[in-house]
Amino acid sequence: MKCLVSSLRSHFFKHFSCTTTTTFCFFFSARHIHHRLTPRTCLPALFPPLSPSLTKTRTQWGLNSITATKFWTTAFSDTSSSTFPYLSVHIQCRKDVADMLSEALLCFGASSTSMDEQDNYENDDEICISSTFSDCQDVHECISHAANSIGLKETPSYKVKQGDQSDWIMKTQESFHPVEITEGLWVVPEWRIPPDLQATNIILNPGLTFGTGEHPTTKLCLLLLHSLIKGGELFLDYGTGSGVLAIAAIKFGAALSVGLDVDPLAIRSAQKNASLNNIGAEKLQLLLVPTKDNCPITDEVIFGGVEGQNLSGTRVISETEKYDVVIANILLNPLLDLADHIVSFAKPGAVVGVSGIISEQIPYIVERYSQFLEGISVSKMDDWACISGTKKRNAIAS
Amino acid sequence: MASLKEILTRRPVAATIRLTVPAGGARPAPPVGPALGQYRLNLMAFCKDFNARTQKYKPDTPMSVTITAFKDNTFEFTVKSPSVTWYLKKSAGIDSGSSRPGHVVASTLTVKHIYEIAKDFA
Repeated sequence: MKCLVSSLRSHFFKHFSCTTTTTFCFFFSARHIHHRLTPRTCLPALFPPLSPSLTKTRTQWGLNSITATKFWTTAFSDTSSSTFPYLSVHIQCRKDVADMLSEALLCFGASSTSMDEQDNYENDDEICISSTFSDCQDVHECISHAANSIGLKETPSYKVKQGDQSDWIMKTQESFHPVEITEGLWVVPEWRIPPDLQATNIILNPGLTFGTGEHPTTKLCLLLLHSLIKGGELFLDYGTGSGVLAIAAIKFGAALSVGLDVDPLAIRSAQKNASLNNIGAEKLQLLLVPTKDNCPITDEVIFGGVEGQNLSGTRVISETEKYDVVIANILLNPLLDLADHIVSFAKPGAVVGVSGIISEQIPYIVERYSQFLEGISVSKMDDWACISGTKKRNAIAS
Repeated sequence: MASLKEILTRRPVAATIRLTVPAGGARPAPPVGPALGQYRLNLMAFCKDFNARTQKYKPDTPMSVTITAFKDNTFEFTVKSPSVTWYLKKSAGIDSGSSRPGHVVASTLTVKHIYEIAKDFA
């Protein structure tokens, strides 16, 4: 592959490649409970509140920068890593050195580089490398070191400008489309019209939280949930992200959904999504849980969604062995670390489903969860898996 | 529906994107957001995928990612473990290498360090 051949850095390779074969579209799906042990996995929901139609949103963003700024301030106001400033730098160089220069730029501090593919260019044509740098980086030093390291005599010419947040977010957002999970069940972005009004439509403004309906793990979890909820169940969504599973459970007939997340913005996004689906706080409760590294938020429990009611978070979270169905769609490591915590919420005999893992990780999950669960089954979609089982009546906490 | 092979063979490439992302820590923010957003790639799918596939590395390990963006907005990516330089500097507890390579020694490592580094590549 070209990109591998061209990589000149002295790497030992341990690469894997991933193919997104589905025609690209839709919106995002993966959800997360951010790993208690790793603050880095926190995923802020960046999206500002959206107006009902995309067109309208665009107009607002295009014509009224004050409105846009206001959106941003609102969207970012509760995160310390708030605005993520970055610099966008365009560097001119000859095509034949562009791959080397890109690699070198990353070695010397660039955050990313990208090059458009041009078929009809000759080797000595000038092309443009678009790169980004973090705000505090010395761009000139990086570029001159990079150029020097690959033997260029002159530092290439370049232009620096402040990165525009709204630009990439709008572009990302354009890719959201309604997704049919199974017959009669759709996940529809807020600003699009549901293709089938008779179907169960989960309306989402996913923002930039995980859980947008398109991802195989979200689909697997929705299918599992669909088969389990018959009416009147209590459901726990461990790592709720956009709240898609918690909302779906209510639509399927569950008596109560509780969504946990460690990301305040995910909780906020899930609250908005609950209200988009006309689900009130009596049915869907959302709970911000503290991470091990980030305890100060314990007092600031955001709760209960739509009406913004403040209930005591600890009351819910301490209610172990309460839920009829527990699903956690996160990642391998948190699933392994938090296994006993996740399972502790389920009633004996309740179904626990875990996802967010790829095929090669199945054995680790099965091994870890077989001490708590019996009748374990694995469902797969593409390279992704969802594992479910019934909680043992005499499960021994590890 | 087109077969996988058909899709793979006919997709024209739009761009090549290179990034450094901490293992398990891709999120919809710079640098990942702007880099993928400009080609309208499925940002969250990338984050979820990357994070799932880098679970075996320690959370702060900087991984180099090369993404091939196709014109139909699909993508493929390869992930490489960090450069040897990163491992050496980390083992030595230094931020940067020698200011005058070949003249000034920045740090020394024992064979044991090297053994530990090599184990990561095994």
